[in-house]
Amino acid sequence: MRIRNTNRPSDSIKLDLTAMIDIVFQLMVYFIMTFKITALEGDFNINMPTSAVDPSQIIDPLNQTIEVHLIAGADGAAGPIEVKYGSQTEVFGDEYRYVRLRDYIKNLVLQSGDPLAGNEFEVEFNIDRTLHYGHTVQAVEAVSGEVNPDGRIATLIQKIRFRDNRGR
Amino acid sequence: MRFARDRQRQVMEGDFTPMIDMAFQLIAFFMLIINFSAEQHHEIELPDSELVKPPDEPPEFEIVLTLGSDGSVILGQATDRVSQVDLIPPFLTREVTNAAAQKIPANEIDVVIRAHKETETGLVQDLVVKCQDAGLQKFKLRVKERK
Repeated sequence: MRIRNTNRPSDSIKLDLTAMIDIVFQLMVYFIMTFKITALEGDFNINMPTSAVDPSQIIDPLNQTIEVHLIAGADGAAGPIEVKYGSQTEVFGDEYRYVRLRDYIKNLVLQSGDPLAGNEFEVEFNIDRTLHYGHTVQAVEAVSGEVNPDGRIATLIQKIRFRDNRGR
Repeated sequence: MRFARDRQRQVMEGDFTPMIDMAFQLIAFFMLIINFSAEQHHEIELPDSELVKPPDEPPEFEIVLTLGSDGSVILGQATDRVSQVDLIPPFLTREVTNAAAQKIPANEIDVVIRAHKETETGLVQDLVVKCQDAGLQKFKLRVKERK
């Protein structure tokens, strides 16, 4: 005789998800609270051969050197910028000094009409020791290139070095 | 006339599946983008520029030097910290030795300088000179990307 078990429990097994949901929400809250948007970072390349090398070997004789003197104001503020190229000397002292420096470099590079003319120039920065580093980077940016209206970056001069001005 | 109610006890159960899916996706998203960059730990504010872009590929060997406005230097991820630039040479020598063990000469090591924007440029130059004394030649001034 077959005995039919009529008291069979339902096939569906119900899991208690409460604990998992609690943990999931705690993790979510943790990540949301610690979330911080950080800006991307990039680099300016600076060419600084070792000081043990003869300086005459560092300077490529084929390159035309533009000397840029960044003068510090009070408390490390940006002062005038003095640019020497050949026998010319220009001083940019107003609030648009970095724009003027960029325009000056751009004119020099574009004068030859060669789009790769920037490779023939080298900028040597002579920087007052007390000048805030942020102003130095602004000047490096000004000689390195500019962003065109279409968003593309036009490079000007990539050969950049700092003059060793220890003890000055 | 009274009608007998056939009331059944019902338990309302919501379907949590989409919510749990979303919650897991959010967790995965935040885990992927969580940023352990040095800046969060070292409290420095980099200068910014609209010309720089993040490097396309990681360098073969790099030394990251974080220079604070007080002249203190952190090498790498805060494992080595010195109070002034003059004390950094032994750490640089160690890094150059590590690179040499991987057959990378000193003049091919990238030195990344992350300096606070109000640091005196003279301190940055001193740091560069210390690196040069250790045989390092390739320098990168790290700045934030400005949109």
